[in-house]
Amino acid sequence: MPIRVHLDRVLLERRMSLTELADRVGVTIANLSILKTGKARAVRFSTLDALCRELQCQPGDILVWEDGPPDPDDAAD
Amino acid sequence: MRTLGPRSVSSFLKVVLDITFILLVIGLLFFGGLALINAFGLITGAKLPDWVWPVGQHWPMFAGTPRAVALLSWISLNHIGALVIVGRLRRIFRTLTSDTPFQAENARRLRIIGLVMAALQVSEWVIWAVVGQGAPDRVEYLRPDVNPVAIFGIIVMFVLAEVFDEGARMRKDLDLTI
Repeated sequence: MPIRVHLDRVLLERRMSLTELADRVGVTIANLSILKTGKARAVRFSTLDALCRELQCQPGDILVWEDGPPDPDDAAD
Repeated sequence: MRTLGPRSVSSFLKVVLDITFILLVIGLLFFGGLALINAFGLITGAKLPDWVWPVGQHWPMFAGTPRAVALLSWISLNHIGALVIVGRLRRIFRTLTSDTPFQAENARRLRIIGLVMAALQVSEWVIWAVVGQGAPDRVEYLRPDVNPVAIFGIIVMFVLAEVFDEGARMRKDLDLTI
């Protein structure tokens, strides 16, 4: 989908591992991986709030809209 | 009593389905066996005892005849159809008791149940055409009629399948909501 997730970039800047972030925000590593790889269908505000609080960033640092064709899974819907 | 999950209404119904499945298997073995014996008598011309035709006292002329074989085979096929239906329902209930009912596989199972129900309804007309034509009046009760309840049940199955398909899609969305 045109929404790109730059979580790995922010994690690198904060020098934080995915495991540590998962422990802090209360989301499983599996789910954070789904989010990081762009496979998530939706993000709850509560999750976004927890991510921004722990990473000390804005939602726009993690989620970026880029113009382009939708992913095949989204087109199927 | 809970609706879903262990020790729920669904679990109780699953037990009922399990018992029904066993009874249908026994029925299939019984009527299937009788069909085979009658077919054997038909092919070999052997004189069959009265017990191989369950209603031999009323219809003695049928034992070892093509009508007997056709009728018993039809009853056996009905048992097979019912086993397919009950088998699919058991698998659906297995997913209910594990709290994951909305799967695309359940939608497929419901469609199969609907198709088998439709086939069983059509088979009534087929067996009537085979057994009923030219038969003595005592087989008149086999004459099928249009059963609106059965037709409605078939439609309900296909509608439910669409509902489960949509439910599976929503479940997938929920699973991918972080």
